[in-house]
Amino acid sequence: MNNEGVNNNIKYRLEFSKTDRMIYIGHLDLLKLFHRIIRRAGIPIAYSCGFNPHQLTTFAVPLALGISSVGEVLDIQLKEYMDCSELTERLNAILPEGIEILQSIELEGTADNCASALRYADYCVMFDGKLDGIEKAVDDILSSEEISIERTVKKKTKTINMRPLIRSIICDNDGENTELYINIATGSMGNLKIDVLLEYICSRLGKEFCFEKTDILRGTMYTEYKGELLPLCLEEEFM
Amino acid sequence: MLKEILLQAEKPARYIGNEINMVKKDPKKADIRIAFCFPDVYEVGMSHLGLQILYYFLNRREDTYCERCFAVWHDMEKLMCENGIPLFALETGDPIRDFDFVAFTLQYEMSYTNIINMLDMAGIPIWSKDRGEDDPLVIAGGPCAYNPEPLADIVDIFYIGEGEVSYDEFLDIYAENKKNGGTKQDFLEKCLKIEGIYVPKFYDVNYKENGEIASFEPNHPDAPRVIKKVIVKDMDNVFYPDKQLVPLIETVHDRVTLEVFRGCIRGCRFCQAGYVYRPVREKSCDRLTELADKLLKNSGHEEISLISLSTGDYRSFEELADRLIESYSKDSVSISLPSLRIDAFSLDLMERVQAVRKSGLTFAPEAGTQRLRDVINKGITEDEILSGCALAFAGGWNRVKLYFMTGLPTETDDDLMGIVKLSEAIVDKYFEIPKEDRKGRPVSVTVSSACFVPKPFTPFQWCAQSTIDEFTRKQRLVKTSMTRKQVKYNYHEPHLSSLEGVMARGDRRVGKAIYRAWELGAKFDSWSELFNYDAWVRAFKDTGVSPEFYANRERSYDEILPWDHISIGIDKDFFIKEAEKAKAGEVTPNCRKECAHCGAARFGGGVCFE
Repeated sequence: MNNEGVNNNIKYRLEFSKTDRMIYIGHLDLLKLFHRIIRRAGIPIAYSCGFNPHQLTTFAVPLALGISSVGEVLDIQLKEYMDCSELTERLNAILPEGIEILQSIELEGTADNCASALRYADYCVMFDGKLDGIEKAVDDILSSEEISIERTVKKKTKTINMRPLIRSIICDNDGENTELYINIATGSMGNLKIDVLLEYICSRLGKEFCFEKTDILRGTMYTEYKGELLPLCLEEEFM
Repeated sequence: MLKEILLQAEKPARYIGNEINMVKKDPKKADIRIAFCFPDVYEVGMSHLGLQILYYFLNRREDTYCERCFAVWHDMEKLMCENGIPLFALETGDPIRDFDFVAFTLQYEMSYTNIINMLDMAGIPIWSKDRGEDDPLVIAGGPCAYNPEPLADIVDIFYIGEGEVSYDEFLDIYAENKKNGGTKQDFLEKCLKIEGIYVPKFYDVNYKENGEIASFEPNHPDAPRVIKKVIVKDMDNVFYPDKQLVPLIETVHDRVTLEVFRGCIRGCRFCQAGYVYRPVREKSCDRLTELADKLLKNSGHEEISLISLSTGDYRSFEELADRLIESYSKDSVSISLPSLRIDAFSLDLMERVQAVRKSGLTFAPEAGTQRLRDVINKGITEDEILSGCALAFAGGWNRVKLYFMTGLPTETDDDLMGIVKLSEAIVDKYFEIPKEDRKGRPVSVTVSSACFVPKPFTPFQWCAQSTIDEFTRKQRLVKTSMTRKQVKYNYHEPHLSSLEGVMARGDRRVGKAIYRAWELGAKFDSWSELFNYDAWVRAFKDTGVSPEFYANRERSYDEILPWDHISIGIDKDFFIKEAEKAKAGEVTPNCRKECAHCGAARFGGGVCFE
C-alpha cells in the first residue's frame, strides 16, 4: 500500500477490555466504534491514501460476540507522536462503559503488527454449575497426542488435529461452578476457537455445551519469542 | 438471565443502549421518569431526528430522566415472553411500567399495532380507562397526532405541535402535582390549560345514523373547544442538541443530522407535512455552521446531512454549502443533501460534495402529466425534469429514480400513461448524447409509484381513496405499458396503503379495529415480511368497522371531520379553496412568491414575515 506523506514509524499498541454490555457488540461494529472514538478524541490518526481513505488500525483478532475480554489488542498508526498516557486517557474519557484502554505502548516502527505477531491467548471459563469428571477428561486430552475433530468451514468438512493447538488447560472444580484456565493457539499461524474446545470437552462428558450459559473471558494474548510466550502488549525493555 | 436471552437474539445490541453520548443519571434522583418510545425497531427509531432532539431537551431538566424504548423484534419478544421479562428502557434496563410517562412518537399510521404491543409487553393496560394511579400516563405526539382520534381511547394525552414549546410547563405542572399528592385526574385537568395539549377523555363524540359525526363536545368546563398546535417561532434560539446519540451498531442513517428549517413553502396539495409544519422557519447560516461543528466533534461521524422538507429552498443554501465544504472536505467528512431539486446549481454542488461517487439522481414528479401536476400543485414541469436529466447525463450520472403516485384525485388513464411517456422521454434524452460522450454504465431509470393516501389537513382530506382493485388495475396498466428495457417499474403494495387510508382519517371507532387486529396477531405492519392483511380483514369484520367508510368515501365540506377540534393554524376555508382550485387545475404559488393567506401568519413568525 502506498501511504504517501505518512510517517510509517509512529505506531502505538493499545490493550483494552470488552466487558458488560459491550460483549453484545460484534467485531465489525467494534471496529467502527473505534474509528469514531479515535476521530472524536482528536487523535492524530494516519489515513491510508487512495480512493476511500481509512484509518490505519489493526486488530489482533476478532472476539466472538458474547465473550468478555481483558486482553484485546489494537495497533494504530499516528501522524505525530503522542504521550502514551495521554492517548489512553483521551480515549477512555469518551469510550462507552464496558470498553477501557488498559495500557498503550509505543511500538518500534519495524515491529510486526499485532495480528501477525499473535500466537496464543489465555481464556478463563466458568460453566453454569459443576461438571463431574472434568478433571479426568482434561487429563485425557492433555495426555493424548492426537485429537481429531471434524470442522465444517465454508461447507467443506475436514478433520483437524486439535491437540497441538492446546498449550495448557488447568481445571478448578472446587467451587460451585467448574472453572477452566486455558491457553490455546490463536491467530493466523494456528487458531483454535474456544467454543470448539469447550464443546469437545463437554462431549467427552456426555454433556451438551451451552454457550449462552457459560461465562468466557479472554485474558492476555501472546506472541512467541525464542520459544517463550511474551504478552503482545509489553514495553520494549522487557523484550 | 438477560445475558442468556440476549445471546439468543438476532441483534442483541438493539437492546443494550450504552451508546456514545447516552445520558446517565441516577434514576432515584429523578422526580420524573419518561420512556420515550419509538414503535419500530431500534435501527429505524435511532435514525429519527425528533428523538435525538427531545431526548436531550427533556434530559436537560435536572428533575427528569428520559430513557429510550423501541419495539423489540419478534425473536426477542418471544424470548422475553417465555422468560417473563417486561418491556424495559435501554438506559437503566428498568421496566417502563414503573415510569411516570410512556411517550410514543407517531411517525406513521402503520405503527399503531406496535404501540399496543409495546404497552402489552410492558404490562400496562392498553385502554386508558383501565389504567390506574400506579400505571404510567401514556402520551403521544408527532405528525400522526394531528388526527389523534384512532388512538383516543388508548392514549391519555396528545401533544399537538413541536415539543420544545410546552413540555417544560407540562412537566413543571406534573412535578408540582406529584409533590402535592395530586391524582392523575387532577393532573389531567390541569393539562387543559396548557397550549397544545389534548386530553381525549374530556370530550364526547356522537354519531349520526349514517356513521358521520353528529357532534364533538367537551365534557369538562376547562376543556378548550379547539386545541391549537404550538410551534417554535425563533429557530435560532430554540434548544438544539450539540451532541447526538451514536449507535454501536449500523442503523438506517449513521450521520450527523442538521435541521436547516421547519415547514415547506411549496404547498403540494397531497402533502400533510407541508401544511402541518407551516409556516417555514429557518435557522441562520451562522447557527447552522456552529451546530455542525459541535455535532461533528461530539459524534465522530463522517457524514453530515442537511435535513428539511426541501433543502434547496433554504435562502442561504449556497453560502451554507460553501462553508461546510470549505470546513470539512479536508477531514473526509461527506455532506449529504436529501430533498434537493435538480438544476444546474444543485448538480454542481453535488459534484463538489460527493467528489467521486456518482450515485443516482432522484426526481419526484408525483404525477405523469402537467394537468395532474397542476391539480396537486407540484410545481415541477416536464421541461425542468428533462433538462435536469440532460445536465445530469452530461455530468456523468446515469441512474435516475422517479417517484410517482397513483390514485391521485381526478386521475385518468391518460395521466397514468403520462408516467410511461415521461420515463421514456428521459431514456431518449440519454441517447441524445453522442455515443462517444456517454460515460460508464448504460442509463437506467427506476420508476416507483406509491398509492395515494388522502391525509387530514390537506386540500384532499375530503377525497375518496382508490380501492385496492383500482390501484391494482392502475399499476397493471402502467406496468404493461412500460416497454423500454432501460426502465424498471416498482409499485407499492395497495393493501397496506389502503389500511393507511383508514387509519389516517379514522375516528375513535377505528381504535377497536386496531386493537382487534393486534389481538389477531398484527404488528410491524409496515414490514412486508410480517404484514398480516388477513388479521385486518377479520378485525374490521369482528368490530363492524367499515374500512370503505373511512378510505373510499368522498366527504362533503360541511361534514364534521374527526380532527376538526385540532387546529394547525390553517383555515378550513383555505383548504376548501385549495380543493376547488385543484379540481379546476389551478396552481397556487409558493409562500415566497405570493402569500396564499392560509392563516399561518397568525403564528407571528417565519416566512410570513420575511
